[in-house]
Amino acid sequence: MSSLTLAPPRSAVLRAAGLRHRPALRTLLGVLAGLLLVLAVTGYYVHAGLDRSGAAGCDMALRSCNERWKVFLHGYGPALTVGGNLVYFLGGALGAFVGAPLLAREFEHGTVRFAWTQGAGRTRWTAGGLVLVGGVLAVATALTAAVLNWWIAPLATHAGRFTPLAFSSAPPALVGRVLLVFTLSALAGAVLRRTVVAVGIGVGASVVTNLVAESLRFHYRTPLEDTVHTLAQGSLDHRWEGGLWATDPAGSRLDLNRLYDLGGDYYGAEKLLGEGGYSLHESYQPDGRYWSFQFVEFGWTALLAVVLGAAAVWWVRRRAV
Amino acid sequence: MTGDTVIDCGGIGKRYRRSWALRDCNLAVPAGHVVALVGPNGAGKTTLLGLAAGLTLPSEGAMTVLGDQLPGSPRALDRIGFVAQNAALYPGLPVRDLLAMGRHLNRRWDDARARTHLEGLGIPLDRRYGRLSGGQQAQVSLALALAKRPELLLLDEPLAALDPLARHDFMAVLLTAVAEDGLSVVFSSHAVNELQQSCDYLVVLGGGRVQVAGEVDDLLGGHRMLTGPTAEADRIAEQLPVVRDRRADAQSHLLVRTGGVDAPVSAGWRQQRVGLEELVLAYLREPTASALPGPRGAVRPSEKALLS
Repeated sequence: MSSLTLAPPRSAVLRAAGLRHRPALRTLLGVLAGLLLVLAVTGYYVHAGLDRSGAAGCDMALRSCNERWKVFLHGYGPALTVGGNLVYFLGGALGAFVGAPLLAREFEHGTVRFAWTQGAGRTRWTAGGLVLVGGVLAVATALTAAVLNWWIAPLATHAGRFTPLAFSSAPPALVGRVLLVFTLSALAGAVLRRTVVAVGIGVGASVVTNLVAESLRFHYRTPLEDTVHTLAQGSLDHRWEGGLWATDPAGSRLDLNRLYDLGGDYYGAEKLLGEGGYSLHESYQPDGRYWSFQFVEFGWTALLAVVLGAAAVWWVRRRAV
Repeated sequence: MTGDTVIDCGGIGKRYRRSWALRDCNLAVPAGHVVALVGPNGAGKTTLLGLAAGLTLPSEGAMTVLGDQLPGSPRALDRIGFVAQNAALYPGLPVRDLLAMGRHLNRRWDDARARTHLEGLGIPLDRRYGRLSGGQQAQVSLALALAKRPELLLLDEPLAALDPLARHDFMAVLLTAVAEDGLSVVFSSHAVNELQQSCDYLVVLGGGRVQVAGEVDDLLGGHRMLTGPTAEADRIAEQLPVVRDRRADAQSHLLVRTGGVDAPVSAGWRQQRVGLEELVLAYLREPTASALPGPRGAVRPSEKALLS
């Protein structure tokens, strides 16, 4: 038969997965397009508000600048905080909604019996679906996160880019988290064969992942240390402060409260620091390390995502219908 | 056809948690037949087909398909078409996309055949699978399986949900493909009354075991329904393996295996050949009776198939 085709290219399984998941991917892109529209409109107002308040370019160590910042926060703070927290806790949930049905629905609808008996075999079919949908999800999330990062940026003018709400909205961190939740939900769907339960697990994992990431984040790289001899705040360089302690002239460490006790009050403590041989130490991550931190976070979440994806494929390989 | 058997299993068993869906199942189905797999619900038909398709691994024993292939191996997947129960496919996809998926997923693929098949039945390619009628869905599933140009086609209850017209259409397409390609078909079915026109080999499963396996002609030729006086029934039952034994006060009906010849009975007995439906029902009603392939005509008079 002349029309009998032999040996489709290796990429063909991705094209088949594209056809299979096209309705789901269309829905995903539609939802994200709507979200981007909302972000663009509201983000425009927030940024305009920040410009009007004049808090954008000034030095936060100055009192006048702080006042302007408070005015801005009064008007736009609640909206920014609600939006930021939504992303902070539920940003990864996008992966749950896409990942959970990927394999679970095949079991629920019985379509595995078709998919797994094709010439490509169940391993390539499952891996192809994960790679294709995960790839589209990653690109779409990166785009959304870029806009999201711009949207949340006013919140970071004061405290810096390492602020948890801002940090977890940036593209590398958010993409890594979404992928991690995506493959975890897909694995849960393959094991439990229930879409709804797998979505629940994914949403839970989204919250947990972010809390775990935040607790680990300061230690991604060895913090730097700064020594000063004043309690007065210097100009902010948006560093991420991890800890503050004092040392006495002998070099032994003491608590800040102990320093105040020794000095009697603020001015006494300031005098001890300036003239008494006491010093103040701070461990911090400089603002310049922001992108390396983003990519460390992306690295471990994405690596975990790959491991979970491989586990899903392994499970499908050994699993009977 | 490279192998002389399409399904060959020795002592195969499949356990789901605590219960055995299939146990100690020995079966060798020769190539080139349309095989009907019949049995009551829960007899293990779907399990056996799932094992042959490579969807499930056996808990014990070993199975080969198409000669010496392991079920689920790439070579076996290439050469076996499978149509699942209820023909479940992706409801949101148009038929055209399903065909494209099949093309992308298979090394052997005859797109023109599938299109001709579906267009011949007036099934619109741009309609979503979920919006087709049951009969059309079954045809799409069959078209996808046949486009692989399989050497073995496995069908799990393909007719169960279809109306009589759709059944007829389905079997017509299937038997045409058999005639054109010489492929082997194994299908499970409840429709015992329609088997005689469609299959030429019969496998009866009961309680997870193979009860009957053989060519339909041999099976029909090898059984006789004996009707005669009850007083002599015991003597007959000692001489011939009885499949089913129904006795009334005066007259008894014994379905016996004779090995292809008329039973040596006295003049008081009438013997008739039986139809396939009657034969199948008799075995299904007597789960302990069996008729498995052996040397033809070698049924010893003393052999008792009815164990209970």
